[in-house]
Amino acid sequence: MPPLENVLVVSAILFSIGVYGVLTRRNAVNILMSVELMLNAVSINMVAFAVYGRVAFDNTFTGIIFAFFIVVVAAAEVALALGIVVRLFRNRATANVDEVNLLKW
Amino acid sequence: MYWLDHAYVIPAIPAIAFFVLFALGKWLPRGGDWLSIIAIGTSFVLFFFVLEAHLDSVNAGLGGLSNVGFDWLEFEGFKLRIGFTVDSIAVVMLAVVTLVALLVQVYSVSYMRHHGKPEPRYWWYFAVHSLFVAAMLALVLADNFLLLYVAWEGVGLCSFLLIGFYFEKQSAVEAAKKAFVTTRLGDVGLLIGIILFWRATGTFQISEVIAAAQAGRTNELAPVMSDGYLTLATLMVFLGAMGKSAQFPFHVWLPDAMEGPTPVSALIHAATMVVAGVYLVARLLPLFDVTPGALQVVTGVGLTTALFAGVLAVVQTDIKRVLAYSTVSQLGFMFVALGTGAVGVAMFHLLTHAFFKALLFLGSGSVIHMTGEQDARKLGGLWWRMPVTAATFTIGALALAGIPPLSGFFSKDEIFVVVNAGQSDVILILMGVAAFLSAMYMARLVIITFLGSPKDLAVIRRAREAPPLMVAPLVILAVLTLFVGFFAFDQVGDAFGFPGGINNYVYFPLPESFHFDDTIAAATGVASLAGLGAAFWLFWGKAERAQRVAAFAPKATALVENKFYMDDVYQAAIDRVVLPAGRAVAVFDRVVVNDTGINGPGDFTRYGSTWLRRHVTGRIPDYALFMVLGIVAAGALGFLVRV
Repeated sequence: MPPLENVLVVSAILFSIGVYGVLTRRNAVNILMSVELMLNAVSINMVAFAVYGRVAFDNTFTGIIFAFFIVVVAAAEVALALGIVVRLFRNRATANVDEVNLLKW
Repeated sequence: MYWLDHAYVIPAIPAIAFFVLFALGKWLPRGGDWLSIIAIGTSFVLFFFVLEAHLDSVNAGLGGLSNVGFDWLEFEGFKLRIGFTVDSIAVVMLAVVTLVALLVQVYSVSYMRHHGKPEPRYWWYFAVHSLFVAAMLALVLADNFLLLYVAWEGVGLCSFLLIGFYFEKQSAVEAAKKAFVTTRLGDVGLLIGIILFWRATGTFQISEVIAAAQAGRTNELAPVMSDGYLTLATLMVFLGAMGKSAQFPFHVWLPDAMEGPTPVSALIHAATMVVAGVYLVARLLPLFDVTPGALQVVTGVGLTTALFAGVLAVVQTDIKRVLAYSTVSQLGFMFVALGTGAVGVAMFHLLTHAFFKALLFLGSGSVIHMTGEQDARKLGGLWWRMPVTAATFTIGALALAGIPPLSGFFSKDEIFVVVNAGQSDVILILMGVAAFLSAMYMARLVIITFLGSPKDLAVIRRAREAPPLMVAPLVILAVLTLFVGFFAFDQVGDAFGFPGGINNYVYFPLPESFHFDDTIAAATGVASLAGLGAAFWLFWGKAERAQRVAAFAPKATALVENKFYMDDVYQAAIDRVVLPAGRAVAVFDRVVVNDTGINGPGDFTRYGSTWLRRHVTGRIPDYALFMVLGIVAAGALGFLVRV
């Protein structure tokens, strides 16, 4: 098995790519995809700790269970978020977040 | 003894009259003058009851002192008490104030009307008159410094209001301002003195302060104040007296105060308010007696003022200005008497002076009212057109000059007797010069105004005798001037129920019987007659001799005619020092206190918030960025804290 740090670094890289995506993308759906990426990176992180620490922490399954929760939360959140995006699209005929700036000072 | 304890009713009645007149005066019939006169008349009648009660108390050996009052406000170490005390000095003042105020108000009913129509704001005149009388009487009866100070400022306020009665005239407004500001300087001294005394003794009661000052100096108790402290506090109080009584160098407001209606000048600036300073020193004389150097200061100031004002009075052309400077000079005489420690003599001169000075002012008012002219250079030969006014005026003038057997002679003679006994010969001679001058300027005034030939025919055609309401007070005051002087004699005093002459009734520290000193009387008589003679020699006829004397010494004449440039000096000091300082303070107040201190936080909040709200851009990527940055910062902080 590769050392734990390598897996954590992979998770971190994935997370950073996700953050970059959230900050940069113009399309709302693209932002949601980046959020999914961030969630999955976290998931990898949790599972890595679960696998690599099984011996030290007495056969723990916490990390793996956490991954289940992440999947459920991601699904619920996407349902909501896509609902908002669809609404937005119907109202403003655009999914471009740069143009949604009426709520300013 | 009832009235001795209830003497406070005397100031209360005019005070009530003021409030009624203030609220309703405009709508009362005749402007409410009858209300004011009834109030002061009642006070005058009540005075006799108080006098009788006081004499009963004195003759029964009870000392005649009374002290009633109640504590208005009291908390730790500080007590505000409204208390009244009656002693012989207060009785003399009550007599002067109530009688002269009554006569002046009756006179004013006629004076403040032209051809039967009252002047505008007629009701306000009588309202302020009532307030003034109330304040003056409260001042006289006050037993503690605080009430005295309140009443002191009250009379100053009324003086301001009445001097500026004709406020359409700029000169009257300026004169009122000048009077108030000049006396204010003195009042600050008085307040400082009161506070100093309170700091040392913990009380505002006059009797307790005097006792505290005497401790360690005239009795065996431990001293409460050091000599320097006592001298400072006493001289501060004397500053107040100097301001109110127009002593040098505070005299500048009194001549200008003649802008007010003439009855006001008679009441306030001759008989009552300006003697408040004399009264204060008289009441505090036991205090001045134990204060090192205080009596000398009083004498010095009085003597300087008497001479200074006497010289200035000789060259004045306005009738009222001559009388104003004369008042200042005579007040100087009273202070010299006080400085010699003779209370009775000073109060006696206060009494006689009040009567003949009021007489002179009201007489001049009669002239002014009937001729419309105040400048003596336009008058002359009025004797035959206004005989009663002229005769009473002359009686007053002779009294001031000190001609026997008028009252002025006796009171002035008494002053010379005590000065001869208690002061150096130099002071006696200088006082003689002042007496000579007072005879001279009064004779000059009578000559220029009433005798000789008229200088302006239009004026002389207008002149007629004054209406009865104006003439009656003149006659009453003339009679008083003729006979009040005899109260110096013990026999006269006994006949009226007093314990003796004036010096047996008003005294410190022991009563004295009257004795007549032939040499002093002769000397003062000579000085007075010399003054009269000099006036006739200089001013009779066309006054060429006076003009030649003036031409002989032009610089000296200019100096005297310009009042020794004192007004100019004061104005320059104000322009160069006071106003720039005021401007500097105003700039500080505007820039530092207001703009920076008060507006600063407000402006800061406004500009700050305007700048800060710009972060609400409405753009989602911006908010996402803020979130990320915040988490990074929190993480870094957490990392640093742990490490």
